[in-house]
Amino acid sequence: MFLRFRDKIILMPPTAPPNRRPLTLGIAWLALTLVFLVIGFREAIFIAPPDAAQGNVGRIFYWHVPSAMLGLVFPYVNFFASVAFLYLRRRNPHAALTADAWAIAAAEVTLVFTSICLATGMLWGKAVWGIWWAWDARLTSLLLLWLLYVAYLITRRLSTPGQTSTVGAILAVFAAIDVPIVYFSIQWFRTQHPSPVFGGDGSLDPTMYPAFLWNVAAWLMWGILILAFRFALERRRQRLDQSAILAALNPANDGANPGMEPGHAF
Amino acid sequence: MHFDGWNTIEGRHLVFAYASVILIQGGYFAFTLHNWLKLSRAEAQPAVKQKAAKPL
Repeated sequence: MFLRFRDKIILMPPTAPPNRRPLTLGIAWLALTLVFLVIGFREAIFIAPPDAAQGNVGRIFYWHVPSAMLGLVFPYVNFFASVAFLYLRRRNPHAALTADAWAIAAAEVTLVFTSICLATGMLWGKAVWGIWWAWDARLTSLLLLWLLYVAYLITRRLSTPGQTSTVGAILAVFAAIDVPIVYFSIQWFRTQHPSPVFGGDGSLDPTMYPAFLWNVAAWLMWGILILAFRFALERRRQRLDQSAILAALNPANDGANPGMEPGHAF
Repeated sequence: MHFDGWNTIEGRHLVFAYASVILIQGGYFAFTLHNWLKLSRAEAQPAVKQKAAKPL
């Protein structure tokens, strides 16, 4: 993948030599995460007491709330990576490409967690409220956040090559503005959504804390895992793009060794 | 836990909620892994035959 700067093309550094350390670390992290997920599942289903008012359907809370929390954290990874891309794209194109890879990875992970939050919330709402959806401030602002990230990913896929990262980064800044609105919506507006778990009227019973905290930790670890995995995939795709374009520019060259120093502009 | 059973909306929706978590998270992980393996196959080809990878 190239970045263009003043009609020059900036090359990425050549492919790093094969290194098995990230793979080993990834597999170890995946194994540890699965252990945490199993403990979290056991705590949520078999150990934690049923909710006094809702019964067993209240256990949806143990997946809904961690997903909601992470769905509001990862947009900031996307936001800071996008701001870094916009700042670095003319100053340090290599670092800008790295930031862009973090941005798209964080956007997809955000979409995954907000999708789960919406799906589990609707299932809970139908069982407890008797309706699938209410157009109150919390639900609507979260749906808007979800739609913004769907738009972000579609825009990146369909925009003109060369402008994809910049257009996406600008859209990411707007998407990040919605995050505090989602978070504070239940304080700023009268909503049907339950009160905050911490510091609000909906404070948890101490017997529910272990299940909740195990699940937060497990899903946070899972989120970091899929974020890093998607980032590594995007970096590989960027390098493959570069090889293909170099080969197309000079068919005699195999693309793997462009014969130029990293950072060379031509 | 005493499972309410498939016949109550509470029991059904608890199962659906956990299934949706597994489907969405597992589906995304599988999708990323699929793209990873596809890219590995593309990398194995000589560079002159490579096409620029589509945006994922």
